[in-house]
Amino acid sequence: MTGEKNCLVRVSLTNSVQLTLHFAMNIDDFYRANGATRLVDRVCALFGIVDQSRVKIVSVYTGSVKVTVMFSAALPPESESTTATNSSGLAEMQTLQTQIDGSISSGLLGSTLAEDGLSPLISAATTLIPMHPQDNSEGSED
Amino acid sequence: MNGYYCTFHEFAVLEYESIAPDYNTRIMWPVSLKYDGGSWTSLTNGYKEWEWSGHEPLNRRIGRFISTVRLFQYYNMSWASNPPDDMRFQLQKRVAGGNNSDWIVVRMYYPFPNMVEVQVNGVTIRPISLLDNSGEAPVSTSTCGSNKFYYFNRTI
Repeated sequence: MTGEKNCLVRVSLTNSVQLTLHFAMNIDDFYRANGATRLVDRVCALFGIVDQSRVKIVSVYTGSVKVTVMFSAALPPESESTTATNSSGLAEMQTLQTQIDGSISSGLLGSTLAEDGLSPLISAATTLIPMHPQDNSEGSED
Repeated sequence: MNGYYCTFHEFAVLEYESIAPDYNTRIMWPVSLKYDGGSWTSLTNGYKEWEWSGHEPLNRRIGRFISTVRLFQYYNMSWASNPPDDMRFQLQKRVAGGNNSDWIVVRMYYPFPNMVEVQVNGVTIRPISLLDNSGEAPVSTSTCGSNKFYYFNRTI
């Protein structure tokens, strides 16, 4: 963080889905195809995610190309952070994981990414990462 | 009596607080701050007990912290318990306009595998993607909120 006048940084854990993609392509080709940007664009379009900032590529490793994409549930506004629960965020991520898994098994994810030159997709897997139960409960203890 | 004379000038005050639902019901301090190459560790406590019912404390201590830090350093911040799920940070401004050239980098480990989201004034700041052999760009010290998320060891 910086000493800039308006630098107020918020750091938050979120309900998340991790998507791991493995492409049989050269990493240089991936970057030449503007892979990171196109991947986010395509995934957002495919799963109807309007706010692209909730989709983040956290790593791109060679071998051939392994990309880890994290999806975050929407955060409550800062003004409501001490009272809001995350149960809706968990439900949203569960639905998203089902959608992604469906598109992996049907081949839709692979064919959609292939349209942008990101192919072939060898494997894809999702992991749901919920927040701890008290954060996702509907009721408040206090 | 011993006395010590400090020759450093580049100090600042780091203000940070929990804004999670348990911000005043869970004790997660003292918070430990140490910068790379530094020879000391700062331990910071939360606010004192504030709400009482007669002689009985209600055990609602605010998770709000004020620590002295050395500017232009990379800090490790660690907590006595799980860090808050939702926090905010800022460097205290000593002049109204702030000072754009001041910076610190804070690393924090979360014992949970969830995505850690960084926002500045409500706008999400995407993490710098990790690459092989740590070949990715370093955290920008001139950009507020610049961050990397080491998801494999849950550190931001």
